[in-house]
Amino acid sequence: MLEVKDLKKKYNNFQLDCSFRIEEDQVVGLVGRNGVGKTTLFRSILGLLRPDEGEINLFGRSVAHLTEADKARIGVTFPHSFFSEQLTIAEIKQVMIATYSAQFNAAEFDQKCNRLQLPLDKKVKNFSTGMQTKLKLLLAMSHEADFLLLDEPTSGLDVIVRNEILGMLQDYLDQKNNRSVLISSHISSDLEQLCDFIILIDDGKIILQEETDNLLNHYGILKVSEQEYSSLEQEFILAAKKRSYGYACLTNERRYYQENYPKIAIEKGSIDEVLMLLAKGEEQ
Amino acid sequence: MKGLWVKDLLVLKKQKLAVVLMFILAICSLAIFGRIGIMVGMSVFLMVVSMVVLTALTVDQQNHGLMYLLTLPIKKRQYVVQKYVLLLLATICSTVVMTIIAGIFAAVADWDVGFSDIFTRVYSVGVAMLSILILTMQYQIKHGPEKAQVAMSIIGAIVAIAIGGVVALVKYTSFGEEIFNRLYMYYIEHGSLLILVFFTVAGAAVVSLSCAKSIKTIESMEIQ
Repeated sequence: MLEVKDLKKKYNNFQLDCSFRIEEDQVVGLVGRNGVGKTTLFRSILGLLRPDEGEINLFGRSVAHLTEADKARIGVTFPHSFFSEQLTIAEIKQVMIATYSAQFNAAEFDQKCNRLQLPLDKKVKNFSTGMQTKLKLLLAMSHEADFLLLDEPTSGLDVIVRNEILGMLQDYLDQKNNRSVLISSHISSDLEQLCDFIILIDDGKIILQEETDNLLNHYGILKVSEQEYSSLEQEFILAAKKRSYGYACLTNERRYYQENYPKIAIEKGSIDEVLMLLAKGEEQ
Repeated sequence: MKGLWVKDLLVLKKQKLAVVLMFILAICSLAIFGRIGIMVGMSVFLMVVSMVVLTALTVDQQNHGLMYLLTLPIKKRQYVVQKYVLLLLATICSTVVMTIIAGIFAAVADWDVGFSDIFTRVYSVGVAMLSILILTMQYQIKHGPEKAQVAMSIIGAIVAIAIGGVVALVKYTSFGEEIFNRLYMYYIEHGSLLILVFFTVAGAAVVSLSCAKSIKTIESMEIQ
């Protein structure tokens, strides 16, 4: 579905440099702190900026040459970019009908707006953040898109709305096969339950690409004293950072250490913890 | 592309007050300035139209809206062409409406001005204003609405100075007076056709070149 190959984009003191693929029927989570290049990557995929080097192919075609029909197969949400806030949902619906023709199911859209308590005749500027986010996602999913690019769709939302959003997305994926999603978030717990694959990005570079199940089942965090650290088998240690108690070490062979070092405190690391250990800085 | 038209029409519909104001100002110009009011009225008319049309572009550019719009099945080139066509259509409509209003006014007030004379005046101002608006739009596409407002003020000031300069040349120099008289005699003897053709060719050249430049700009710029 999507292939990003040796993509490079340089700004003053930042360089995006990454490669990855997303297959059909795959949900990929892009996790990273704010400002590490997630939105730059999204904009590159959507042809909104020109990479300095590399290739991006979507639906087997370079994104620079996507046709209107190809673009109609993409659904997008951005946290800070949308239709004019002066428009109402009823007006946006007219624009969507004119844009996507028969692909846009107006009756179903109305029904969903009703279910999500989104008023059709109120200007978007009067919506809460949660309502705006629901509307953005609803629109991205309203025209039978095969590929969703969701940039921080749960940012700034409370737990209840976040779960509602993730539920909407899960329903969409369950409706039809071959739908793929690239979703970014700095709240990794949202992605653990939804994604098949996780990409961790830091300072413009991919620092880890792993299946979510693998990440949650085989990765672990070893919390060891300095003495224990020096006697620890280093072969399966991916990263280590100094902490007040000694070292926190990331491994992708949790069971190995559980079996061979039974006295060491070993935790099942969350995606956030994995990111913190792999990311630059953060020494304590 | 159809979606863009629907969106812009919805945005323009919200500017009803400006349209009412436009009619009032045009009629006031004719009532106050008489025959000269045809050109003044058309200038005012197009100023308001330009503000209304440029609002459609401003609305897209505010809050990074262009980034979202260009993820829809719309090509960057189509976006630019649609905006130029919108401005062109608005100018054509303004020319027709202002010609009709001035024509009615001339008939009611019993002015000694023919319909073709009214049309020539309205059309000339229309093309001249269109050129200024097109350049403003080109600037706004590249630099955004805030800078474009400043640019439009500067362009307006330059045009005002240029018009003032021409008037001064005609009024206070024999050289200016001679050129004006020659042009006027040409107009009396040969009619307005050549003038209209000249304005049309010049206007078409400005619109085409500006549109091509804007397409090039948007194709290479980073949308954010």
